[in-house]
Amino acid sequence: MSAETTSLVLRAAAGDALAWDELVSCFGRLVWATARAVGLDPEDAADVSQTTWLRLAEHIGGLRDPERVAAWLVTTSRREAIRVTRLESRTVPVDPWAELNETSDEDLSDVIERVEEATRLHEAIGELSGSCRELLLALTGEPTPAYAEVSSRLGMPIGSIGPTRARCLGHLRALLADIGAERPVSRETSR
Amino acid sequence: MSEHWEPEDVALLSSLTRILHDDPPPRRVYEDARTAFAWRDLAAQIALLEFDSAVDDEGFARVRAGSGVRRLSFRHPACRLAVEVHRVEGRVVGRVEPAAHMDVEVRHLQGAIPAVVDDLGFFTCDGVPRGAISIRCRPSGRDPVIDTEWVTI
Repeated sequence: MSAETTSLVLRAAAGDALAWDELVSCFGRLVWATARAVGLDPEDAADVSQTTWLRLAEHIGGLRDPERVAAWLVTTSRREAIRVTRLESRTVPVDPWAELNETSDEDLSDVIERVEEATRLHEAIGELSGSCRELLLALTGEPTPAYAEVSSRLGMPIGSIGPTRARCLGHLRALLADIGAERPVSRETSR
Repeated sequence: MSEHWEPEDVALLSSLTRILHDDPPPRRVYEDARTAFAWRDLAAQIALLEFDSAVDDEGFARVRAGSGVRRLSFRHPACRLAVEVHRVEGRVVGRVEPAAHMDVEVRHLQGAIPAVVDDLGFFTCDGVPRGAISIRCRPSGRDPVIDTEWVTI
């Protein structure tokens, strides 16, 4: 994956709009979630996301470490989000100034970890087989659905739901392990 | 249901539930991110943000009320640019140096707003939308265009 990310960055830097779109699909959620995690409302987070991608477009040819583009995006989005929390007439958390001073490196790396976890999970779900994805999505409904309901919705015998669920979660876990090993985003950003 | 659940399965399924009920980015966020690529201009040089009252001026950050004006300055070897952003009014007032024969426009994701630069380098730009902006300074003659880094206003 990191080789693939590098190639997307290099292709985009050379002017390939499809590679750029692919970068947006891979990391759009990460950029957004980073701004949200700083405490921005959806409108501000959308603005920060816009700025972050414009900055990347501007700097993509000069990235020192193209395979770490995700870390670059997280750092840029977070910095920009912090600027925005300090603007008077925008929606701000109760007291961003105090809050920011109190934000320790540990808090920040917690936030980054949560964002990364969400990103990895989305990516892993995307790579699951269709039937596993359907089952897991059905099981995560709110409120938690009864097996009988899942069974009739997916046309799966009630007795196989448990074992299939365990197998699908196993696949998901394996995908997560692959993704985690291939894209360790937090190394630089949580420093 | 009295079947056996592995504790790690319970944990994974509950993270999954949380993430799926977490807020996904609106479609516009992806659309804007794709559009951003079109703003790339290989011929342009970049003026870096060197001062932002929102983070570099403790008084501004602490008081926050005040005038509601944010000051930004950008630096490039061939040009200096200082602006005030009046966000509520959608106005950007600034000064570019050197002033001679410089055209200025404020770029945003949907377009660009040209500004008239007077002989001292002052300019005012109205109708600037909220969101990401970059200011383009275009010297006359063959000198390259200079764009500021994008900032969120």
